[in-house]
Amino acid sequence: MLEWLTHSKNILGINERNLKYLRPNNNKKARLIADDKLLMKRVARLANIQSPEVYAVIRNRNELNNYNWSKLPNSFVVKPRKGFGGAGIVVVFGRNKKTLNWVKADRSQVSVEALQTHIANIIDGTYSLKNTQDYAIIEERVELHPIFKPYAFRGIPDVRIICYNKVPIMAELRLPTKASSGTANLHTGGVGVGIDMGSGVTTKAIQYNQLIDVHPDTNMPLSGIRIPFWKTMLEMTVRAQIVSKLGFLAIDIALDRDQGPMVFEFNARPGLAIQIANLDGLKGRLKRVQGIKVKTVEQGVRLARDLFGGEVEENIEEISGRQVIGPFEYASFYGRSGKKAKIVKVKIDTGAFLTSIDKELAYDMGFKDAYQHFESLKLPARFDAYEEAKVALKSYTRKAAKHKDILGLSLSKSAVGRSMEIRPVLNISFSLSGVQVNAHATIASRGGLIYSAIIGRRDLSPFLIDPAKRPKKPV
Amino acid sequence: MTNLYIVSDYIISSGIPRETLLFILSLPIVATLATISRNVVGVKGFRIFIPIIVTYSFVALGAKYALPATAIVIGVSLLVRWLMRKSRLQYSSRMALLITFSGLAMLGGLFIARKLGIESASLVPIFPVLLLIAMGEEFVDVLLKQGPRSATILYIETILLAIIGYFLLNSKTYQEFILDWPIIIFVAILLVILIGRWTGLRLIEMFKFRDVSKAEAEKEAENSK
Repeated sequence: MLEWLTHSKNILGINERNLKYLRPNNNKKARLIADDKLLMKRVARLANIQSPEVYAVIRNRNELNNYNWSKLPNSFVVKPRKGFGGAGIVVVFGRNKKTLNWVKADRSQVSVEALQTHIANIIDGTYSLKNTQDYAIIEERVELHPIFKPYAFRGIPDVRIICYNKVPIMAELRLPTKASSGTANLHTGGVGVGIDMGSGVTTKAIQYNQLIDVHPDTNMPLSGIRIPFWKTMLEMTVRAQIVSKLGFLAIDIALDRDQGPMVFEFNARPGLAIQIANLDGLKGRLKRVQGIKVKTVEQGVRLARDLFGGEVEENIEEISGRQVIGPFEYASFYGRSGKKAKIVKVKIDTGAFLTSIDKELAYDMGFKDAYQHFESLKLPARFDAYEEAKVALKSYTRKAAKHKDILGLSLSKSAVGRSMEIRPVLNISFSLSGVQVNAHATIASRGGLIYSAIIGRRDLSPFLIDPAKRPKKPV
Repeated sequence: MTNLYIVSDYIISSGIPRETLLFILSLPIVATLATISRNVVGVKGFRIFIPIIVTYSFVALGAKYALPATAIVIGVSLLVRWLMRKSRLQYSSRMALLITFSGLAMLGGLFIARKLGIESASLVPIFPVLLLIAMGEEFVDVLLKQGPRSATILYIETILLAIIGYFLLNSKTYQEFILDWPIIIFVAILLVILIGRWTGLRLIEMFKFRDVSKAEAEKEAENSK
């Protein structure tokens, strides 16, 4: 009955968090990183951690009035640079074709004027920590990963990991709800789900500090969700701690459908309700990692999983750090300007060195100009002798590379017979099974290929291939 | 041991009103109460200063006027925010309007009280009323940043603290005690410093984390088996 009075020695309270852990471990300079999203992004880049791409920073009224809204893509996020707790964030999903207004997460519309007022309020400091002047950041919107679809109400869930002494010590999955109006914030009614540090599988869930079993809006059970890229997320956390020098750090990681884990925020004063979602005290865990000398990122991650995990049944992806794919997969290809993915079914071909894509896909991606430049060189369509092809390759490479998109030329053997052809090589990027790959691809001119892209050995190093695995069509 | 009323007596005889001395000596006491309430119990209120000025407003106005006045402030703040939800006004202009309308609503309240024949309404001092409006601004700020739930909880906590302070400051025993023993403020200072270094769980946290404690107790029982 009275356990709450007698069994609280492992629980961390606000007083102790502030005095014993925040003040000695997070100095002023380091705290600035957590409070300033632009600085955070810079630090994240140093730690080799992805964060949503910034489209624009609006620093004052003048910049606001002169901002060219037509430059923005149809979906983006507006947030204050020094905001906290998700306040002042507007998520824009798309554009209404009739009114040309933007559409928000709750399907209501916002006009350019309304956005301007909102940004003016951000600049005025409405949402900043101490109501001081602020900048507004317009950045890329993270795409909901299909695994979280049943658990998210109009928003993007994130994984919060608390790290101390280079060891991730506790984590929770934070889910947006109707009550929290789409933000993954526990204060406003978001759901927090505890995570087993070893396996990355969810355990208990809370809303308003009370234990719950199912998501309040979607009624889906909340335990047993396996967080993808768990090991990667733990590694990101330790790297973030090393680079940011925040001794007591929480990071919020979102999972993008195509680009994988992305850091949203560094937090220097994480809330303590995470202890309820994990049914374990932070103080006990903090004490266990105190004084351990952690030398590498891998060691920190291993310690976290051994100390704070249940039984770890590592799957092949976890051990190898690679994603398992089948012989055929769906991949999304990014356009030349980096945005707007096109999803196509691809063939995985370990027999080929370079990836090749067909002309149509290349055109869709914005490489029409590059391909036409290649065609203007008027190379013979076929070569029957290797020597002859090699000479041509040598003499045309420099001419071809005059176009900025073309890296060079490559000789490919035709599928039938012994004839060869010369193809241009481009720098492209695609994402496959949640991993983003910067590839070198040749353009194949013949139409009527079954697969508009064939992924070659050069770009397959992040993967293991399971011949029995069937492709899953992305939603 | 004789008391130190002589100190208070000397100050009062030099021309400082007893009321003023009482209020100033009570400041550290009320501040200590607010600190204990926040760091030991876990009842926070809006920051530390607002519960204190609300306490003083309660004492100056009497609970009869102060309670409806806070209700008016919050009601008007909510109403103004709701009316302006689609307006494209800057934060500072919104806040200015909020304060203006809170003031007008207070005037309306007093007017109605007078019309209803409540004689004492004409004696209500205006400064404490204006101080209460400060809470309206804080309320809306929290509402914007942390949502309606947090804002309501903090509002209730603030009023609770103010009521406790009100009863304390109004009690004859307390008034005599503080004037007899003005030295008590040094005890308050010491106490505040000690609390500032205290790292224990707050009472409310113990209750909030009761499920964690329960799990801990179960684990312990299992291990001892």
